[in-house]
Amino acid sequence: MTADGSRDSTGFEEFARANQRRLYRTAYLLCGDAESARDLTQTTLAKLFQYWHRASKADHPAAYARTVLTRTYLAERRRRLRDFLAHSHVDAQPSAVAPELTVTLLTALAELPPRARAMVVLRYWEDLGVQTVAELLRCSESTVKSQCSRSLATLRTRLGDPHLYTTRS
Amino acid sequence: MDMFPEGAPQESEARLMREAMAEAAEGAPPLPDLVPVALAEGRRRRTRARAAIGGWMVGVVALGVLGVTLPSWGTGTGTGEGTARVGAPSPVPSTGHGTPSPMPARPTTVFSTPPPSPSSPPGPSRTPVHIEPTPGESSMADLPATERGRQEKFQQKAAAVLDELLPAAFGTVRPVDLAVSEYQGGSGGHVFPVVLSVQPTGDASGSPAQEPCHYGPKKRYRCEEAALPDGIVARTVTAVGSSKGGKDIVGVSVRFPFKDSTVVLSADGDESAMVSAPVNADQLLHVARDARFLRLVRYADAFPMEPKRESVHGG
Repeated sequence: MTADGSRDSTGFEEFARANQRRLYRTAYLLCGDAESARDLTQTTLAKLFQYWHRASKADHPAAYARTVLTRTYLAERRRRLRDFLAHSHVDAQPSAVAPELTVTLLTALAELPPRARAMVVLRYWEDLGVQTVAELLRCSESTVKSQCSRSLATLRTRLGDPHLYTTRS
Repeated sequence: MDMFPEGAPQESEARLMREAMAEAAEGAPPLPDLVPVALAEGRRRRTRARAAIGGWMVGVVALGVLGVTLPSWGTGTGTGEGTARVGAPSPVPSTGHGTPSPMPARPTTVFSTPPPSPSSPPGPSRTPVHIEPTPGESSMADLPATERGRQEKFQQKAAAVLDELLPAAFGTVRPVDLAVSEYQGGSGGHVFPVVLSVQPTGDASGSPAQEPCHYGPKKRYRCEEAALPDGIVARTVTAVGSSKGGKDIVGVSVRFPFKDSTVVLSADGDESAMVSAPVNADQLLHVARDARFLRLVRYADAFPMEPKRESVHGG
């Protein structure tokens, strides 16, 4: 390996170790199960390393990684539709030992189309603004607003009275 | 007027959402260190990418040295595209519908040919849909200039053919500048992704194997076999991609082996708007049987634009 290559991988390793857990959590909310989330995170990191010379120069490499993760997730879902394997890849159900709120949330998220799910996760987990989500998902801000609004309503119905949860602990 | 203001009524729901997500994310099972595997996979990806470009360069040189002839193809649409060619505009017009022109062309000329001259029959040029690539997405912009030009020309021809053959509800079909296989139809504010992929898959034993239909729940998945010209057996699949509120988004695809390639033509619905692809399996088969479509396939099989298909876990 060349000196440049060594520096390349060292820089990537530092970044990946510092960010893999956060990426995995986002992937978990997108995929709904740990195994798919690990695969998605690993693929994202591999893609980042493939283009690390570019990714490392980004203003915000972590945001860059999040974009790669989200688009890889959506591309994978599109590929499933294209290959029509969707019927044989039903999202794994959340673990039975997961808290009730988590089970309800993941079940509700699983009912959303992939893009709507990504919008909700980016908006409310990653706490990104509407404009940022729209840019990341290559759609209009009004689409993000309307999708999030609909998704919130759906999830609200599923999750029930917020006081049941917010006052539980 | 903003129909979906993010105002106070949603604040409690949003707060609940954030809390639920934080709890779910925190409760995700432990994560092993993914870095070593990611490094190895990333290196493999780099090697494959270099090999693909290197292979293309070798192919161009070899074809040029051998003087191999290119099949040419005209769309034969009767709309000014009849003599459109991948290569240099020929003084000899295409012989017509469904018949590859006997006019040979050197691939080296084809690859470096500028866009059709103004004296060529005017063909509709479709502005590609620009999608900014991320590191995870290879983009046509990363290709060598001549190869990129070749793929862009192919996309223009393919978009024109698809535009004519797909139902009008698709609206105008435009190339997507991320990959030669990606297109997009747009109509009534809806966006319908279309894929035309001709991917080399042949191994030493010959043409790629066609997967047989496998059957899923009838309401969500229907697979049928159908005959194309020259004894080709195609597999059409109509499947529900996702569902919401009792409404399904249906996509359709047709897949078939063609010499050393696997051809996939698919149309997906607009997930944002929960609208299915405005085409059914029979209509997609009609496209696949059309001589203009098969000319595109024949060219892309002879002069591949996509990397050889490999089984890569995780995409």
